[in-house]
Amino acid sequence: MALVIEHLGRRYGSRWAISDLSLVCESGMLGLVGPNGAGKTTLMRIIATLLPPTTGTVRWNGLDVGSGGQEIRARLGYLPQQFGVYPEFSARRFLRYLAAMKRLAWPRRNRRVDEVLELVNLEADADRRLSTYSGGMLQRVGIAQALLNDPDLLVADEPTAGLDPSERVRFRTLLAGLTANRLVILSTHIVTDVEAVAGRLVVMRAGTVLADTSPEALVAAAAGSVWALSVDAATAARLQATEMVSGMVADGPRVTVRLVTRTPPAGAWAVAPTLEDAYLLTVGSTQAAT
Amino acid sequence: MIQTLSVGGWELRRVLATRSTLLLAAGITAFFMALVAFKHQWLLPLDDRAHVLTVLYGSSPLGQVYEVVAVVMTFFGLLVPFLAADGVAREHRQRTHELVMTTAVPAWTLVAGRFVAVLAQTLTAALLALAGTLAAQLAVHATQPAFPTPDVRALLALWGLLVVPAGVLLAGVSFLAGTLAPRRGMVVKIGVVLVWIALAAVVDLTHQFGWYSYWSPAGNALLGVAGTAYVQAYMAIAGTTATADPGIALRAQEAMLDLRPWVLPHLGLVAIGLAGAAAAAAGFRRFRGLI
Repeated sequence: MALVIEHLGRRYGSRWAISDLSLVCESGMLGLVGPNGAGKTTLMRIIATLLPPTTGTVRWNGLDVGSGGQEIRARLGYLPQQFGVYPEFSARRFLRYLAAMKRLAWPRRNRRVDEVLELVNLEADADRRLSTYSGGMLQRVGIAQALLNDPDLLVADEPTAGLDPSERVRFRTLLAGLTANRLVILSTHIVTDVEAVAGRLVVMRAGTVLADTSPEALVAAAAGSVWALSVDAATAARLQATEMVSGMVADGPRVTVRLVTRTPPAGAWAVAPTLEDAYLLTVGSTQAAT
Repeated sequence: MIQTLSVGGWELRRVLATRSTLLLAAGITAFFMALVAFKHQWLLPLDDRAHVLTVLYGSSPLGQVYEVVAVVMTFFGLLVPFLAADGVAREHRQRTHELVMTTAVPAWTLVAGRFVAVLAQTLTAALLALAGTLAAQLAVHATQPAFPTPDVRALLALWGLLVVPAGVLLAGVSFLAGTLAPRRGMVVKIGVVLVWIALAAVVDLTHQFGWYSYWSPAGNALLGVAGTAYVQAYMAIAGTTATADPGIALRAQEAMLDLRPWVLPHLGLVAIGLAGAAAAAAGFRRFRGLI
């Protein structure tokens, strides 16, 4: 079970959304993070056979996403960044419809729909029209449809965007439970989502891979680059404009500023980095380099 | 094939689950009923005595040609693009495109299935328009006894020959344009409607092209043929009578037109409509509208 991406490029007009990207992914969860415009959604869409690459290849178990799209889709679960539903359908009927489109044979189709509804904890509301669902419930319908065909390759693009904290935690836990015997690619710009569930982390920026490592290794690499400093409000504002600040906590007239930098200012003391700090250091240092 | 029908079946279930569908169906029936009730007779001059106007009853076999071509067809043609153009393009508007396009169903099956649903909706709309027309003609007959009982056989023949082929043609063309330009749905609909209005009510190409009399999707040439047949029948019965006689008029419009010369061309229109759907399936790309 392997997803092999080689020298992938995708151009929109004259702009390259992805350029010369190569990755090899095996079963488990891969967290894909990066700022807006990093090319995550384009990469997800190419993997999901929705977009043809401009250059390079993407192969799932040896099948090319272009020529073998049909077979890949049979084993693919995809949750797009933004998706709609048929509001006139109930969740059960909508999932039965998509199960039919995924060519699940009847009567297995109906059993599987019941299973995924239970998995995402929607059995009680399964016969309500989707027009009455909250954002979080719709997101659960989204993950349910992605699981209908028990996919080997599950691609989730920004699945936690718009969810409240408890829904996010529930969703992450659900995804984490799905990683056995399949590759789950979780794209997000919320770094803490990846930290909680992904064993491998890929940081993207401007269509290229900046780091391909584990969350722990990324955090370890940031050791000695995160600092705290107690300053007055004016200095805090100045630091915010000139340095990479990952946090500020007001404490009376003073402000404790958390800085991500390899060259600490005088008076700063080292603190343990978080994954968010490490991510900022990775993305920010490249920004400085470019 | 089974997969195509499955896609079409699911699309129809979606349409039927929409609360406004029944309202729309009732609206279509009522609209055509009102239309036919409003315009149910024509005054035609006799050839060499133009001041003598005779009444062509909309429910008579010849009058139904006028009713179907001049009234029903024109408005039915305005309706079809709105039923057909969004067959696939709706997915973009509802943002379900990516979900559906990453399923295992082949793209051409999906498009063909959607056209099956579009065709079913178009034919259902044609049936509803037929029901509205017939109901209005029965109502006119009940309130104005001078009007003959509607000739159902003649009406069905005109429906099969004119309304259904025009419906399939318009559905195919609208579906093709809507599928290939999914983000231009309203432009497609308005474009097809304008072309239809031009063909049905503004431009008469029969003077430039003789063959167009048989191929006109709106069947306009039939008006001239029916009018001539009526006046000739009237003259044959009336002889030298110079006044309009309702009894003669009624007898003169009892004979149905011989529609056989239109059968093959209108089957050709059906074929063009189906070819449009096939072209939509062949030209469809999963990523169209995403880029």
